[in-house]
Amino acid sequence: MGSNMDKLRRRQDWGLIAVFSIALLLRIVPSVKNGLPYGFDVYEFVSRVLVLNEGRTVSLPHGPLFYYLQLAILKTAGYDMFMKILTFIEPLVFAFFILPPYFVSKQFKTGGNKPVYTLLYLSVVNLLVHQIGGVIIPEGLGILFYGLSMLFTMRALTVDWRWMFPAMLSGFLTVMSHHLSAFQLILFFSSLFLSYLYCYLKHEKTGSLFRLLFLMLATVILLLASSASIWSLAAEEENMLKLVLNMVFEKPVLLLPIAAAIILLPVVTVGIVGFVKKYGKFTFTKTFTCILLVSVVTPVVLTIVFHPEALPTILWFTIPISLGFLPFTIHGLIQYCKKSSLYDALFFLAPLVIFMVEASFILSLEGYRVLIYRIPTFIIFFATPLAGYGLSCFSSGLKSMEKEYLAGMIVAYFLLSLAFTSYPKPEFTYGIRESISYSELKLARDAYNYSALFNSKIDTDTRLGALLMFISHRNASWVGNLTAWFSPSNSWLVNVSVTGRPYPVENDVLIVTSDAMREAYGGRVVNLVTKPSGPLGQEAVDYLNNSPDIDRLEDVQNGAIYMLSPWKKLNRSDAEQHGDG
Amino acid sequence: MSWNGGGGRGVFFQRIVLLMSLSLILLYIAYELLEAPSKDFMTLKIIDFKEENNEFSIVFFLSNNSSEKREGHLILLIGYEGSRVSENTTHYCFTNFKTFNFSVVKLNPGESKKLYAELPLDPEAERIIIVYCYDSNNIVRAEYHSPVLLRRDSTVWVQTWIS
Repeated sequence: MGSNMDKLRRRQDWGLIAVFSIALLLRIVPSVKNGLPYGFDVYEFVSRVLVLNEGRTVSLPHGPLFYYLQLAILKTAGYDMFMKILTFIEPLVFAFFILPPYFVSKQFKTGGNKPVYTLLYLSVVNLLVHQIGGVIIPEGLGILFYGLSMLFTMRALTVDWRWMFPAMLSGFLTVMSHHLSAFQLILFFSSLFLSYLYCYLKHEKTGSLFRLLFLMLATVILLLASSASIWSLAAEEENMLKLVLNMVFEKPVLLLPIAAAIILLPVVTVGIVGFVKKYGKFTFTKTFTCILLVSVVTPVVLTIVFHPEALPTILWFTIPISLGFLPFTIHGLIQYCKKSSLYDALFFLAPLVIFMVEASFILSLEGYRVLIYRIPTFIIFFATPLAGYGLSCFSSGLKSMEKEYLAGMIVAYFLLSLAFTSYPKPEFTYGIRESISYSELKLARDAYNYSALFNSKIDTDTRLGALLMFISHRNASWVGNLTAWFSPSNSWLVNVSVTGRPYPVENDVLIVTSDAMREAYGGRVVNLVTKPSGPLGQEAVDYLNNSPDIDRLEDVQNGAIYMLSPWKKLNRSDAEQHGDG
Repeated sequence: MSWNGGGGRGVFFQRIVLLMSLSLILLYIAYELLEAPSKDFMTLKIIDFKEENNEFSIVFFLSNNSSEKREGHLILLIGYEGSRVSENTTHYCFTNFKTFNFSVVKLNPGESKKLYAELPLDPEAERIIIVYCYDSNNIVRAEYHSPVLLRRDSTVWVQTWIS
């Protein structure tokens, strides 16, 4: 009997190891494929680390922790080893950051839960693969502490209220790591505080709940205060919480819906749990059909009608999530609400409701709407224990081997679709190419050297601008804006990409183009996420290749550097210097 | 014999999900790694250009940033009025250019060469183009003055305009 149990346990352990190995492999794929850190944001972030390493000061827009941890690695390992660690080791380390929701899942008291499914979702869901380890960004670190805060809070609610102290500490570390993770955590604690306060006032006036409420409120205040304290590190650059607060102060009328949400949220969340507990007709089939209508058919139809150009992006992300993740999450939430206590159910329901309100709020704001793409990662990360539980409940409802086989095969293909959409190709991201090539790094380095030679500025897009900041340790005179979210750059490349019509280039500017910007390659001049730019069309390329006096200084096969009369200017200044001499 | 092997409901489902999804994802990972983009590239850049003593002198740098030995043709083209460079995703086309020089340059992996070119002053010349094409089978030119057509993936080129 004992040996059978050991065998089963060993088999489960091997299952977990296999699933986590897939998490590691998926996250290291782009680094092995390209030989360089994946994504272009990381070059911008590391450029700040390089500045810190030189003893200079630089703004740290997300919070200081990520940058200083990278700095510690850089100082310990040296530049070459640091780049190798950044490329090949950090994606593997970041893969471990997915684990907090797995441990949340292990805390479930409801029967039939199989935490291995939660780990499977954490390992393969496209947004989680991409944001946690696929790219090395402050959000990955922020989400670790965000997840730990959730885990410790759950333990405080179910085991001992003292777990709120580590939850507060990891909350503070979230703020130090990443602004948007901190903002989501503030929403998380606020929703729990309001919902449990309502329960306290209405149902149960116990001392332990009062202590928890007090500590949750203290955590929200701590998070707000520590967020405000690090704004000075962000200089002029944007911070999500600051943006929202600015928005509220600029439009005081927004206080009304916020106040209404504060009053209604606990009533709604407690009401939903009560309804789910009483209503007995929820089945997986109904849930799946509803999700199909709400999350697949509706967005696809609306996109075709209003924004047909966004259809590839919507299909790429929506179909796998809507078929492979959402139905099981909703099914898991319903079953969890049915089988657990009101307090346990509120732990998931209250934050999910407030996250949905937040998403709707952002979608309703003209100009901020595009930021909606930042929210799903946090919601999915938080909801994975429910998805795992939903899949567990679904599997226990299968009543024959044939059904288990068929359903298993279908779910496996859903999981494959989630995994293979982790690193979208440019045609699914409005033409934005995320990966960077060695030739583009060389192009950025040479552009910087040319700019020193000709004493000129450099006009390139945000993607190559990140490389330029990296190789120049933020010394390059770049005509562009990397971190301003709302003011588009007034550079030649951006203007021409928007209008499609080239105009005379300025005298003292190097224009750096790459195939990733070109219309012919389905590319785009990357400018701001909030303001669409266009591709570099054939007319602009012909203009650069054939306009008198525009020299093509360098070609790296998938990119080139252009400048107006560079040698004339250089030779003239040389002659003037000799003349002076 | 029970279909769930005595392990309870969902055990067979779990095995199918884990085995099948992990196998499929491993296949996907293998496919991704097999279609890794090439890290190899060539660089051609002008590092100096002067107009003096009735001639033009150009200094340029050719680098082979690849793991393969490259042997290609270095072509110096002079563009006159009406000369034009056009390109699409597969080819470059140089129209109305006169070939001034044509030589073979070999580069070992990782090797860079600093090269010089001197041209006599030509009052009608408008621009000078330097092309390096390492796949000589792809140099298509019917006659001396007809357009030069080169494959993009084996060509690098730079240009400077003459005042």
